[in-house]
Amino acid sequence: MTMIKKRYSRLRGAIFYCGLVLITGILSLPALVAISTSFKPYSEIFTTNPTILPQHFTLASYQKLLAIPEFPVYLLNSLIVAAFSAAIAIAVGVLAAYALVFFRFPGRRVIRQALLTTYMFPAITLVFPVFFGASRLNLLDTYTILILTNLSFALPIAIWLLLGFFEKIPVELERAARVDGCNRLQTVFHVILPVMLPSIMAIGVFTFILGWGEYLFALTLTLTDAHRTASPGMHALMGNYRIDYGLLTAAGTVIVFPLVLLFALFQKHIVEGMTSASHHRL
Amino acid sequence: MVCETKRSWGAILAPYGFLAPAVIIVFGVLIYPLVYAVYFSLTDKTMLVSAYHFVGLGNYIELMGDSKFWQAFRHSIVFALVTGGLNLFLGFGMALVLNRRFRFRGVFHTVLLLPWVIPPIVTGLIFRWLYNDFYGYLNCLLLGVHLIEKPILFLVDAHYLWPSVIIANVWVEYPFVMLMFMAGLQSIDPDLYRAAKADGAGSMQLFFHVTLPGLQRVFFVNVLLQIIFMFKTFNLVWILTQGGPGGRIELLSTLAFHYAFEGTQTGYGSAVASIIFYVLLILSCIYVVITTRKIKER
Amino acid sequence: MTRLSLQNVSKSLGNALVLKKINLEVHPGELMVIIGPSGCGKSTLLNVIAGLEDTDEGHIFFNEQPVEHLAPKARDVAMVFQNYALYPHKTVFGNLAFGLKMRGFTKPEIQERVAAVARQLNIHQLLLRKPRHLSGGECQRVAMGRALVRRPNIYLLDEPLSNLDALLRSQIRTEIKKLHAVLKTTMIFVTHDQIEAMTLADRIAVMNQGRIVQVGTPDEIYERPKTDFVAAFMGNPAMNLFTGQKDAQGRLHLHGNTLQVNASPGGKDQTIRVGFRPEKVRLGIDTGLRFKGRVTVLEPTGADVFAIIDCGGEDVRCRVPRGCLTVGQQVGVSVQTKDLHIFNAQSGHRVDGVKRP
Repeated sequence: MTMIKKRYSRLRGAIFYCGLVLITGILSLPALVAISTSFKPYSEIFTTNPTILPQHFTLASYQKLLAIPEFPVYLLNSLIVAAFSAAIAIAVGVLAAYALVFFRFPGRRVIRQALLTTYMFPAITLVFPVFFGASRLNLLDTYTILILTNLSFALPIAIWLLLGFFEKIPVELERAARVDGCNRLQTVFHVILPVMLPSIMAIGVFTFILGWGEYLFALTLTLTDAHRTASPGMHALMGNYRIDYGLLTAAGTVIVFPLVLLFALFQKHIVEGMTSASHHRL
Repeated sequence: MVCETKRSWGAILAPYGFLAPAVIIVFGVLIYPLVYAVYFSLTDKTMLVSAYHFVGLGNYIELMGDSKFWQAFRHSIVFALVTGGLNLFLGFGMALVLNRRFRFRGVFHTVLLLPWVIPPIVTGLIFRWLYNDFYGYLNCLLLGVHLIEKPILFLVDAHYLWPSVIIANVWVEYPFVMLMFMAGLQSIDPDLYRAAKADGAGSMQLFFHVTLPGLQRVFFVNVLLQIIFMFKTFNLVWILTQGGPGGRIELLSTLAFHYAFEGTQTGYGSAVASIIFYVLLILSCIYVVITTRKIKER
Repeated sequence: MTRLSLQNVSKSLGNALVLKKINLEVHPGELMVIIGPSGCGKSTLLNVIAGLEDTDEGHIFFNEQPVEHLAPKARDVAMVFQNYALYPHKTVFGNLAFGLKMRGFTKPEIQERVAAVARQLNIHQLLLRKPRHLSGGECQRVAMGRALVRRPNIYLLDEPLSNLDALLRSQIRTEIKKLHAVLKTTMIFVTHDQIEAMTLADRIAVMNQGRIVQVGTPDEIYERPKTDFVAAFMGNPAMNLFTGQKDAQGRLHLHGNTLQVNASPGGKDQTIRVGFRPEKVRLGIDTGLRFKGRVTVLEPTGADVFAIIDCGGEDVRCRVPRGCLTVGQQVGVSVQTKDLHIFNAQSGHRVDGVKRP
């Protein structure tokens, strides 16, 4: 009896795994195909009989990519824009989230709701006025305008996630710091920041990931290769090297690789942040 | 004897000081441009001429007679409902699967979440390559098993355009829903399952009497969030199709972009973009009202 | 030594009025215990004293100096929290030193003070550990230590023993009492545990629904509760409380008994609440208030037995020596008139004027 039951449950386990592997395989196939294409020789890319894995592994596409002088500039621009916008979003967001969680003051609920609702604003509505504003202020094609526009989504998301983390700090910890002689700002620096450091870094990483690949503002607000970030850069490559999918998938892989690495490293905290944030009310 | 204590101005203003940088940035990069967008929508501004005039509701009245606008509006609604629905379906299903305990769960979790961090331009590339008419995997596979005789133009052909674009969108958007549902599943008190099991509930009954009721709020929040997010979608649809041949998959967002940047009619395009905002504003208000009411009931 | 005085302190959180015109005097060097059921406002009162929350109304004085405008730092109070609130990223040394560092003490001073307190509390071997590697009792000591190194004006302790197991709780309770005897610093100790209150306090303040109901020595609180709330709240097992009538002649009618009691103000018929402590119930029909009934529950507590006697639908709780009752037995019990506490049924205020030693 128990033998049968055991065998039955083993069978069920096997079916479950097979199903899961199959689904995961199908869902990761698009990305796998792209990565493998980037390592294929020309003849294997343009064939009507493609294989999933490259038969002759080659870095030819990556060598070709390296020969494009603009490409590293795109990555560097993305790094600068994403790093600055993430840093500002964190710095400003920490102060705001601290106030919303640990202060009691008139208007707290309204400000909280207003800040969180901005997360839903459509970027497409913002982009025309921002374009004209930037051109009037001579900010078109600068890092400044890209960093500012990235903040339009990075800051609300950062606040949203930070609220989730801060609400988990025991209020007594913050009070202990103040009784020990900290003013509010010192409390943030001596207690809140060090205690929440991994979570705050995870939020920084998340906003960095979003900023790195931001498309709409970067496309409309950059004009030259000097300030193009990865997304409009890739857009340009897709125009210039229309059908060279070896080169394009190589570029895509290089653009995504740091994000995958960062995400894998900080996944636990990012997921935890989303988890706690999904519970709190607007 | 009532004695009002007088608090120092510093103590009263401190929280506003902490909030000021965030509020200033939000005003600068969100509120101010938004107000300007609404203002533009009331003018005849164009890309090329710097002078423009206030035309009142002229643009909106013109839009009411614009068949392209109504087509895009319909497209946006269908797109939001279908894509949002599929995201919810796949996200919920995968969350249920990943909520079980099994070996290598973390690995599957990471792999399944990864599309979420891929920038839209790269997703666009991935699917353009997958859908490629001569050398794309999908066509080669379908030709190889003789399901089709000649390659399908996935991003052009009227029959395949919508499903192709929606699949690409679902691929990047569902992990977020999955994450939210996993959070919801984990927040259900395990004692409820123990109690239901002690009462003799089977796995189906556990699902319908414990899991689903416990996810009520998460369901509600995600349905609205998905409609909101999918209604304002721009990036992937633009990258893959630019609205499609003959505007077959023209959404409000891509139409606004066409009018304002490519057609240089900034005022008219802003009116379209503003309408997206009005719709989202109404949806957000519903969201806020209902979630706050739900909390009060508790 | 600091004298603390609260005058008409009110505080609301959201729409709820949490503190309602609190008046309280804490003498210099006194150990005042504030006790009350959860949600009565006792923790808020501590936060208000510490300056963690602002008052809406009223004044707070430390030695006649108004402090209600001052930040916590300037008030120089130390606090111990129920969940200890140790800084998880700092070592034990860092936790103890932090308050001194924020107040600008020099390194040698900090070293010296921390070392002294660590020796005093027997935590000197833990100084380099992080809080997550400490046991509950050790965390509690570190939390105490963090308050002690500061040598503050007032110690505020917010249910500091509630997270400990029973044995450790009574040990540390004794230590706190010893510590207070040595320090002679004003100390306010919030708890919901009446044994802590009775054993520790110089005086007890009983709080209920945002008000201080009674302030007095443990004996006063126990022997002469000012209201039926205090009577029911203090004492374990709880006081027996019954509803009866008092007539114009000052006679009490309760459960078939008619007694002459010394209750004021007399004059007319009124409903009253009559209470007596379980340990004042005597076996056998004697003078005073008499009950007859059947023993339904016996709970041995070691030295004696706690019994519930069903007297015609009303339970009388009593504390009797071991072995003199069995379940199901019919017994008669009585309570002397001098052991009765009589309260107005509407207001809950004490109405009898009987003097007790």
